[in-house]
Amino acid sequence: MNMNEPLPLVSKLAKRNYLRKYGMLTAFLLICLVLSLLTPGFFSIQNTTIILRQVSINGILAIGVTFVIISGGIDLSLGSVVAFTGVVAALFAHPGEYPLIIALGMAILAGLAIGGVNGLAVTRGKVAPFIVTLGMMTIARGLALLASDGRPVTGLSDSFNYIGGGSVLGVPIPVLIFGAIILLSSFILNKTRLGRYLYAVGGNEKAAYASGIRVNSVKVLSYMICSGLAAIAGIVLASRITTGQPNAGLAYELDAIAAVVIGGTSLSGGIGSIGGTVLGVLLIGVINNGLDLLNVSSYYQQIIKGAIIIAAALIDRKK
Amino acid sequence: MKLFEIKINAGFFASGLLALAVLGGGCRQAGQAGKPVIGASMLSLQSEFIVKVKDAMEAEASDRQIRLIVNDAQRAAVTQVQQVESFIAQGVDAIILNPCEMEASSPAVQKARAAGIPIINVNSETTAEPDGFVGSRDEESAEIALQHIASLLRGKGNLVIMHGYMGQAAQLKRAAATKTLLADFPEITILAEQTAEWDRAKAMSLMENWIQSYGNRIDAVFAQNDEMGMGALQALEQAGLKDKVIVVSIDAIDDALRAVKDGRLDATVYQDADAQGRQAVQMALDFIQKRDSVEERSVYIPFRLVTRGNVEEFLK
Amino acid sequence: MELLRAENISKSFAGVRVLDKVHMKVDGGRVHALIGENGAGKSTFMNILMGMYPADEGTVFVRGRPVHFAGARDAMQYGLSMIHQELLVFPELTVAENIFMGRQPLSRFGWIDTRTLQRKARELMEQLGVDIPVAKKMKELTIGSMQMVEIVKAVSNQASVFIMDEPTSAITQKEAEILFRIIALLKGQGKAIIYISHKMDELFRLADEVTVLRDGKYIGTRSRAGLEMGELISMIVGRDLDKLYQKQKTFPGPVLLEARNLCSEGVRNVSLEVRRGEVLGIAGLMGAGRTSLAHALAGMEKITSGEIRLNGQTVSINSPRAAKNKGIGLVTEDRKQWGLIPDASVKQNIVLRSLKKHSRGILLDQRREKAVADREMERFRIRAASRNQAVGSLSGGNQQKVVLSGMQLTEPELIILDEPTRGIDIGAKQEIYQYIASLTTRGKAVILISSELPELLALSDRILVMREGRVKAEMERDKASQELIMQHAMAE
Repeated sequence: MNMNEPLPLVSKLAKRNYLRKYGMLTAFLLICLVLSLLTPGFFSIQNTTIILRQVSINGILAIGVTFVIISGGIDLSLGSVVAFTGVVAALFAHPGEYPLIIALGMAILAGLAIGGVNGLAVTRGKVAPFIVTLGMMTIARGLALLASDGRPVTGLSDSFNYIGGGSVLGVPIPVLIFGAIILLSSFILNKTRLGRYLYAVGGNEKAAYASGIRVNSVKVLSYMICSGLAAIAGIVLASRITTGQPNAGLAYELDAIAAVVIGGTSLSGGIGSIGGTVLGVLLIGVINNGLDLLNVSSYYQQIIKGAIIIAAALIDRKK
Repeated sequence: MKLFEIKINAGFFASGLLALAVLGGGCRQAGQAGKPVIGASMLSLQSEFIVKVKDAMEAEASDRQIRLIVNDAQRAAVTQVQQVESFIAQGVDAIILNPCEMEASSPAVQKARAAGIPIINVNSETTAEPDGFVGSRDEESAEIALQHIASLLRGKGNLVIMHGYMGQAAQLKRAAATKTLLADFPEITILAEQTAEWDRAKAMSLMENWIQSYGNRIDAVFAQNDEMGMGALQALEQAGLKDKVIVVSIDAIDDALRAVKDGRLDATVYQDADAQGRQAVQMALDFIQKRDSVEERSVYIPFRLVTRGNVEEFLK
Repeated sequence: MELLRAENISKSFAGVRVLDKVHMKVDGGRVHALIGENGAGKSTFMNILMGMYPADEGTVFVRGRPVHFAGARDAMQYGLSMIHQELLVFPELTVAENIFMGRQPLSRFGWIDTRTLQRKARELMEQLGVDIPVAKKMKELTIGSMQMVEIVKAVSNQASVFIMDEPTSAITQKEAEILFRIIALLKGQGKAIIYISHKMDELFRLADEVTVLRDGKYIGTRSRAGLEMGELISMIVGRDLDKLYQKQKTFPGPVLLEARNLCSEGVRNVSLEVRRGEVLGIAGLMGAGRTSLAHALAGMEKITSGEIRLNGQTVSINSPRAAKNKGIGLVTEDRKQWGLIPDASVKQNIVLRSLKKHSRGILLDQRREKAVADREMERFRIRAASRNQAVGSLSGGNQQKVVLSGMQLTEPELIILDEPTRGIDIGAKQEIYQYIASLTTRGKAVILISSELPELLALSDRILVMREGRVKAEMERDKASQELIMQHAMAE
C-alpha cells in the first residue's frame, strides 16, 4: 500500500461511517434489550405488530422527508398536509358515493399538488425551503379547515376504514403500505438515476447544475414525492381514526424530521439512507411504546425522547 | 353570479356608510347603525366544540338583531388580549370572551372592565372576574362520567385514565374531580394514567400499549374527551376486548353520539354548546340594555349524561 | 541561529504511515521552503509542528529545547505561527479586531477600547509597510489583504517562526509582491519562514533552503545555491520527468466553434474561433473576464447578446445541460464549488455527467459504472484507496483528474479548461499536459485558461489576451512571450 496522505482520512471516514451506521443500530438493539428485560409484554409478536402499526404513519412521512432532506431541502408542511389530504380522502369516502379509488386518488393528487407548489416556490421563486414550507404548513392547515368546515368528517365507508384497521395474514395494512414504501423508496434512491441525482443535488447543487442535471426538476420531484407520501400517510391516518380530522397531524413533521436525523441523514443534504430513516422511526416508536408500557409519566417521556434525539446527533458527529 | 355582485355592492355601500359616519365625527364608530355590536374572542375555531358554541352565538345574535364580530385567538392568550384591545378601540357595546387560559387571558377581562365595556366569559373562567359568566362546571363532567363508570363497575375494578393536554384548565379540573370522586370508591384502582393530548390517533396508540401491558386486567377507560374515547374504543375493538371494557368520555361530539347509539361507546357527557352560546349572547344584551342592574351574573349550564337510553334526543 | 528543529518525526493514521522519520532545521533570518507533491505529508508535518497532532515518534526542538505542544495555542506561545491556506478569520469583525482577537487591550473600565485597538493595529501595519484600513470589516478585504492581516496578527503575537502554506495560491501578482517584501522584511528581523508552495519560480526566488518530502519520507535538504530545477523536480517526483512543458506539433483542422460579439455578465463583445486539433490559450489577469467567457460558452452564464456557431450552425446554449448535449465540456476553475460532489464516491463523481449514457433507461447499471470508473481511474492514474472513497478526501491533483475524467466521458468535441493545474502537484500537472496533447491529436478543440504563463505559452497554438471583459490581443504561439502578454493584460 502506498503512503499518501488521503489514506488515513479514508479510514477515518470509514470509522465514521461505521459509527453512523452501526452506532445507531447498536443503540437501538440495546434499548430493545433493556425494554424486554424491564417489561414482560414488550418482546412479543403481538407487541411488535402494535409497534409497527403505530410507527407506520410517522414512517411514511419520514421516508418522504428523507427525499427532500437528501436533496438539500426541508419540509415543514407535512403535518398540515396529512390533515388536509386526510380530510380530502374522507370527503370522498362516504359510503355509496364514490368508489374507494376516487377518495385515494383525490387525496394523493392534493398531496402532489402541494408538493409541486412547494417545489416551484423553492426553485423558480428562489425562496428558502424553510420559509416556503413554513408558509405551506399554515396554508394546508387552513385548506383542511376550509374543506371540512372546521369539523371532523365522519361516517366513512367500511372499505375506506379497512385501510387503517384491517390486516392481511395478521399483518396490519398500514404496516404493509409502510413496507412497500420502504422497498420502493430504497429502490428509487439506490437503483435509479433520479436517486443518484437527488444525492448529487444535495451534495453540491452547483456542481450538479454544472454537470447538466436538471436541478430544478429534481428538487420539485423531491417535494412532490414527499407530499405525495404525506398524502398516503393522511389516508392511513384518516382511515385509522375513521375520520378526516382537520386538526390531525399537528407537529408530525417534527417527529418525521427527528427520525430522519436519528437515522444519520445529514440536514445539509447529500448524505442519508432509507435504512437509517427506518431505524430512526423504529427507535422513536419503540421508545414511545416502551415508555407507555412502563407507565412512565408523560413529562419524563418528553425529556427522554429529546435526550435521545440529541444523543443520536452526537453519535453522528463523533469521528 | 348576480347574487354575488349584489353582495359586493351591499358591502361597498355599507362601508361607504361607515366611512360617512366616521367623517361625521360620531362618538362610537361601531355602534352607529343602531344595532348593538358584540365582539367575541374564541379560544380556537379548530375545536369542534368551540365552533358549536360560536354557531349558537351567531344564531342567537341574528335572532336578536345584534351584530356579532367573532375572532379566533388560535389558542394564544396574547392574541386574545390583543383582540379584546382592538374591540375596545372599536368601541363595541359588549365583549364575549372564551378564554384561552385562566391567568394569561385575565388582562383581557381587566382591560375591558377598565374601559367600561361589559365582558362575559363563556365556557371557561379567568382569574380576573368578568361582569358575567356563562358556562359549565368542568369538574361536573368528570364527576358524571366517573359516577357512571363506578355504577357500571358496581364500585369495584381497574381503571385507566386518558388525560388531555397536560396543564390546560380542562385537563386540570377533570383530573382534580377524578381524584376527589374516586376517593369514595376505594375498590376502584387506577392502573395507569397518561396524556393522549386530546388526540384520537395518539389515544389509539396509547390504548394499544396499555392493552399490551395490562391485557385483560383493564375494566374501564375514562377519557377526558370523546376524541380520545373514540381512539381507545377503536383500539379495544381491534384487540377484541370491547365487550369486557367500559369506555366513557366527555363532550358528546357527533361521532361519539353515534357510537353510543350503536352500543359501542358506553356513555359520553353532553356539554351544552348551544345553551352556552345563546345564553352568553343574551347576557351580553342584558348588560348592554340594563347596565349595572343585571341580576343573574353567572349561569351554569348543567352537563348531561348520554347513554343508549337517551341518545336520541341529542342526535339531530 | 537555529530557531526550530524537528528530528525523526513519524506519524501513522490507522496503521498507515504518513510521515516516516522526517527532519527539518530552520534558522532565523532564513526562508526554508518545504515542497513535495500533494499527499507527500507536508500538511501533516506542519500540523505536528503546530501541535495539532502529536507525533508518534521524534522530537521538536524550539531554540534547542525539546517541546511538547498540546495544541496551536502552545505552539504560538513558543513563537510558532501558521498562515493557513484557508484563512480562519472573523468576516464580520474589523481588521483591528481580527488582529487582536482574544487579547484585546481593555480600557480602564474593562471594556474594549476601540481607539487604542485601532492605533496599535495601525502601528503594526506601518512596521510591515502595509496599508490596510484597520477599521474595515474583514469580509470587505481581498484574500491577499486578509492574508496580510493574518501575518500582522502573527507578528503581534511575537512569532519568530512563520509557517506559510501556499500563500500565493489565491492572490494577485501585485499582492504577491507585497507578500514577498514582507517576507524579506521579516527575514531581515531575524525571523524564520517555512514556505510551502508548488510554484517553482517563487521557490527559486525566495528560498534559502529547500526540504523535499515524498510519500511521507524525508528526501533531502538542499541549499538554494547550486540547486538546479531538474534535480529538484526529480527529488519531488522520484523519477526524471521529461521536460516539464513539451508541445507536440499540432495540425489545426476546420473551425469547430465560433463566437461573434458575445456579451454576458463580465464578457463584452468577444469574438473568437477555435479549430479542431487546436489549443486556444486565454490569458489575462484575475477578473479580466476569462472565467466569465468560459462560463458563457458552457451555458453556465446567460448570454445577453451575440452568437455562437458550432460547426457553422448557430446554436443556443442556455444551460450546462445544453452545452453538454452539444459537445462542450467545461472543467471549472473552482472544482470545490462547481466540479465535485465531495461526499459522493470517486465512482459516482466520474460517471455523474454521463450517467444517462451509462444506465439502462431510468435504472442505474452498477456493474457498468464500476467498470467505467475502474477504467477511468487507471487511464487518469487517479490515486484513491478505492472507487468508493469519498472524492472530498482525495488530494487536489487527484480531484482534478476525477473532474477531467468525468467531463471526458461526455465525449465533448470542445473542451474548456479553466486553470486546470491550479494547486496541484507537478506529477499531476504533467499528466494533465499529456492529456491536453492527446485531445488535440484526436481532433478535439481545446480552450485553455491559465495564469501560469509558461504553461500557457508551452501548450497553446494561439493565445488571446483579455482585459476588462474584452479580447485585447491575439497572437500566434511563436510570436507570443510573457512580456508581450503582460503588456496587453495590464492597463495601457
